[in-house]
Amino acid sequence: MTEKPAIKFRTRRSFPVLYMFAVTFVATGILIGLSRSTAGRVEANKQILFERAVLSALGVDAGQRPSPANIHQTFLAQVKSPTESTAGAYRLVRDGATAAYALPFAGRGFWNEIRGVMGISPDGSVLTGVAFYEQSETPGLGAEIVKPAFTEQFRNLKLAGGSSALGLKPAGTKTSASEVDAITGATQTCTRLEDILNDALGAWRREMGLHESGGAAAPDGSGEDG
Amino acid sequence: MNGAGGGQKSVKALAMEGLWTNNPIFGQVLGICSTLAVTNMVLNTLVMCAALILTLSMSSLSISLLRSWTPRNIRMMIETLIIAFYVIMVDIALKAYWPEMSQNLGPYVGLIITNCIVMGRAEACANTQPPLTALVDGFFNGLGYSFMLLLVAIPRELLGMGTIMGFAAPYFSGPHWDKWIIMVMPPGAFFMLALAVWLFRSIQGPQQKEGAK
Repeated sequence: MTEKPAIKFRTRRSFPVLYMFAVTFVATGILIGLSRSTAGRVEANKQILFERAVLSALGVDAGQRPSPANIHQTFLAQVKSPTESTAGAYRLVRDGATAAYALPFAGRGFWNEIRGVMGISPDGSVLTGVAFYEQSETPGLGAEIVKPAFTEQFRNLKLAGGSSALGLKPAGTKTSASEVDAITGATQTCTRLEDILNDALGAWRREMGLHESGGAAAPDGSGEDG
Repeated sequence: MNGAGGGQKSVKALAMEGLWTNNPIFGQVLGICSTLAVTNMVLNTLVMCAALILTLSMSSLSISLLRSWTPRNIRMMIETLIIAFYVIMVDIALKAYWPEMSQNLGPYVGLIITNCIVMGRAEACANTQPPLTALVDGFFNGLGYSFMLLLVAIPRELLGMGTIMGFAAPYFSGPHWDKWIIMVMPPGAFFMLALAVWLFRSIQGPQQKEGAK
């Protein structure tokens, strides 16, 4: 494009425009090529992140440090896609029967959308787990929600009945079996997450006709059978 | 590698400037935004530093290569375009090959485009110097930025979370250490950065005037 370093050409008024155009053309061309060639990979990464979250929420073991291929195989073998009768939830099938549901949820966190999956027992009274596959909370604070120290609290968590099925309470202040410790310094993330989880659970249980079921606490919330 | 492609300054002089006398953080006071934003976990900081060193070196090199062709009046558009080009490449690579890190860093990789250090070096050096000088200058300015970032990040993660690179540190992760949550929160960055700048400027003392010019 710019072979002859003719001084005349470079002093022409149109030269800056042509030059800018040429540089932009080359740079964006390379970037588009790069982005196209990795698009499949990026998409696959997202899919694997989601499948891993589903398996983790359901408590399915895909092996020690599973490879992406392992995760995908396990997911295909054991998890069935949502149908009309599951109100948007994936199903974990064991011996032909539904062993648990995996309900994707999303909502606004402190900075951005939090997306995750929660595993729910067939009668809607116990969580099998919670896992996240997309969040941009503050690293070190809100982002700690993805760490096992936080998510493991939801394993086999008994849910209360009604609209607030579970609670995130400041560390050391939980009073019922349906509550877990929130993260210190991440109050915004935790209160929002609490609402996201309860809204998703409430809506799903209503749609599934599991409205009345409650595992841990009595409807008045004073149950202390943990 | 001596002589840096016939440039006026030796590699040693450029290193001294980038790392010490004219350090981007405590000398030029540029790029503070990212210093505050990504320094609460050491691993994130390291990746951010690597991304910045790469972007800064490569964009300085490219800008310098094009310098005799670039018309003065549109040079800043060209500089921004070149910087953005490298940053987006890094971003794409992270998304495709290290999705977890891409998630951790969130928007900050993209924000390297607006990191004042990159533009600052383009204007102060790459615009007028030969390619190798510009490359070496960019590299050492990136290193100067990185060591300051790590200096801020290590105490923040250690005191705030009791870990280094995610691994539990002895004593600090134990029951006797009451974690300073504020170190992980934004104010912690201000405290650490201010302390570090104060310390280094005090050590630098009389050299300061020389370095600033």
